[in-house]
Amino acid sequence: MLARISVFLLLSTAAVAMQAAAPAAASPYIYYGSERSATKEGFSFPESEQVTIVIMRPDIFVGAQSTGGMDRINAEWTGFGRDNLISATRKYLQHGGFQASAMLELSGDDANIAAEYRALFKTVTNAAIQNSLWPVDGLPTKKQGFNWTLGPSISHLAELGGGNYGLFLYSYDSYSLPGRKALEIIGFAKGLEAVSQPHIGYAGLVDLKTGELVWMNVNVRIGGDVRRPEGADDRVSQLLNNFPQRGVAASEHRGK
Amino acid sequence: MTKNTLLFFAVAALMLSPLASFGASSSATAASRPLPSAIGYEPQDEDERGLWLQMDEFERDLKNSKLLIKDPQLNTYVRGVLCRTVGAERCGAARIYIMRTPYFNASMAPNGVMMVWSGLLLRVRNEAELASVLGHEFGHFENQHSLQSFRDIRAKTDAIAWLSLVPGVGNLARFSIVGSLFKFNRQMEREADLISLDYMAANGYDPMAASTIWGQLRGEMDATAKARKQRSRKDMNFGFWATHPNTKERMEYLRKAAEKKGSVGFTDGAKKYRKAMTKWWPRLMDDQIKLNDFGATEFLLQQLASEGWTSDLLFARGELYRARAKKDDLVKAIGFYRQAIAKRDAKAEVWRGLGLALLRSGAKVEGRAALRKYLSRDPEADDNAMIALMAGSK
Amino acid sequence: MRLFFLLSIILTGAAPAAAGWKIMPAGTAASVVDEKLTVTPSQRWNRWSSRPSDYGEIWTIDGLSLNELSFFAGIPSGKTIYHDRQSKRRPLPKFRSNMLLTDIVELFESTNRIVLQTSLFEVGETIPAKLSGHDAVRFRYSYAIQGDELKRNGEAVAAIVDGKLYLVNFVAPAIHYFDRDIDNFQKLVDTIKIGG
Repeated sequence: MLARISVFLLLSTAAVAMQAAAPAAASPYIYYGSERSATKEGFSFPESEQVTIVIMRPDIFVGAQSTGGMDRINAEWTGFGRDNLISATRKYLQHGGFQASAMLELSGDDANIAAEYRALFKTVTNAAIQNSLWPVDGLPTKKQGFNWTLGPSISHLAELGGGNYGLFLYSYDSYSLPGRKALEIIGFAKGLEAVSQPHIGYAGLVDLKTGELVWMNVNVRIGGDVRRPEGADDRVSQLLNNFPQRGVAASEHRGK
Repeated sequence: MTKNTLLFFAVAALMLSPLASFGASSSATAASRPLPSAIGYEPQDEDERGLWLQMDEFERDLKNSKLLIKDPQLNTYVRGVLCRTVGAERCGAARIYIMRTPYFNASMAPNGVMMVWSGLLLRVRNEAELASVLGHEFGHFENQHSLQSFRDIRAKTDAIAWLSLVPGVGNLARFSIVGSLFKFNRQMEREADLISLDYMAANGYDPMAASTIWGQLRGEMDATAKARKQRSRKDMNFGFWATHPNTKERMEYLRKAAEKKGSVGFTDGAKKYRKAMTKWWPRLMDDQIKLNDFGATEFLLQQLASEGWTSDLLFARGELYRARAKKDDLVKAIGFYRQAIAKRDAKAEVWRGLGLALLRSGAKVEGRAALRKYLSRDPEADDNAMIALMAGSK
Repeated sequence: MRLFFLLSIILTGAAPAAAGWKIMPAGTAASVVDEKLTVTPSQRWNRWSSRPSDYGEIWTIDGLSLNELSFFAGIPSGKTIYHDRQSKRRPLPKFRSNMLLTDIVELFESTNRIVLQTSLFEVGETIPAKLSGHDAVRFRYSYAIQGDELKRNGEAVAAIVDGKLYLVNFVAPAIHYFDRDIDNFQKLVDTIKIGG
């Protein structure tokens, strides 16, 4: 049954790919707001001890879109982007009074464990987006609160990374090549709407003792150009918008 | 299908160059630039670097994949066949990943990642056949087919996007562009096929094996269809939409090309292949049986038994007939299990299969006796509590 | 990358066609699969309006990818467990009323290997059990699928009653989720009554 869901996603992706490939006439679909975030009710960082946040290896794609809407990753941009994102995040967190470190490159069994949690994180955040952040036909039992977890066995990751919290970052940018830009402009003039320039980012903070997803932010029209250090600062400040502060207890909030 | 769906297929097929496409479904030359198989080769431009990076990320995940068959012996063996086929100085550029996937396929990524599916290992009969596939994939790699294909698709989808803005330029124009995408792909497949043939002949593998594989696959498709009372898919021609030449065409041009290579001094390495695969065949056959494709599985069993029925093959056949359990299938299954037992090296599960087949066909006393034998031979089995109950030994 | 796809769907508004969910409250007997079964859950579940076949129904706690509880009731001889959607290319094996309980385990395994398109599917401990007082088989299994490397564990209980198949199945990621709810599942199975 699970496979059928992924097939469905694949088909939806195909639908997106289709829209991207050729500009469609103005679509009847509703556009949602571009940013959502949520914090677990009553969450606050412990006051007495030092808080170390481990920045997991960011999942990042920086590419360009051809006129026909084909996405291609750009190796240089993506490499710079990942480094810029890590250092900007580290700076941002340190500024907020946290210790911050980047997860080391792992190999062997450790890499397998990290890969498992990465997969679980994706699965859990997918469910959180569908049911809490953008509850299109969400589960009725998930209407209240923001309760999502990866489970306490995640403390393995704390041992590997040496921190109390894990910060997962995802960043996806596709810039239009000149031909695509021209197409968009002409298409716009003709009253057509092309899906273009996806800039998507999301971040999630996981308590590495309990496994709880304590905070999450998703922005589907995010700004800041990760290809440059200043741009990455801008990106991170948007990515970590509403990030819980030290010494401030969150009354649970959702949405924006 | 709309043009867009097709386009999606084309784009999805882009990153990997698979050996065959039964689902939805070359003459470009590398000039005097360095070959990707050269030691220390680096991607040459922005497009190629991008593709490599994307596949490097894919490879990171692949290394942690649970579907990966890590058995060092098997991996060393398959690598050895590749190295003999394309030459030891070249094969180092490819990294082979054997995947536990029960269908016939292999694929090649531009950065040197070669994936070989376990279903392929179950289907080829000898080293030369395996070599023909590995050589084909390596041919894609050396000639940078993924990169060419990427550029071709990009150029053509660009044209399609522009055409969609022009009133009056109907679907026909866009249609023909999409069609040319598929044609380009077929050309590259043919090119890789012929490159592989050259490698094989140059390094002592019987080039005719490249053609016989397709004959076997066509036979298997017939067998599937016959058991399901359907029309065989072997000559299904996706024509315009085909990403690969059809199997008959492939079989024939490869046969003609192989005939030109003569037939002297070639080996097919059948014995060595059988020896290397012995350990894996029972597992791969089990995966195959559970696909509920009676005709194909029986066909493959016959193919594997060409040198005689071993106890493992007889057991597998018993399992296949017991799973279908139509008309006299259970009687036949009981016969196969008994023949396996007569071989004296039968594993414990043979008695399990025998006992369950007997029980289901109503022979309770004999069935229980066989199940008790199973339990005594494998007291630690995961299902011992359940079987013990059925065997009446509790 | 799949999440990006999901986000793209949100971005473009290509939202999935509406399927509905309904709360199944704790402690209340619920009738399942057209009243062929009743079950009394000890915690809240969500019931999906989309069904895996004429004989089945699906529940979840946190979303189908995190926990899936499925009930199949009264499958007659000659029918498949799930809808046989690809009956031409990849037909599913059919239940037969003369099957042994161990044959059901093999039927379930083969069905799921085909539907999930994976060979990484292993059946583990298989023991005798009861379902609504009838002789049944209980078995553990685990699998992983291509493209989603999360290992999943499952447990199912099956019985043949009056020549028809009854099967209850729970599956969740091996990390945390399976262990968290397996006891709940087993308690839930104990409350099942065949025939409403």
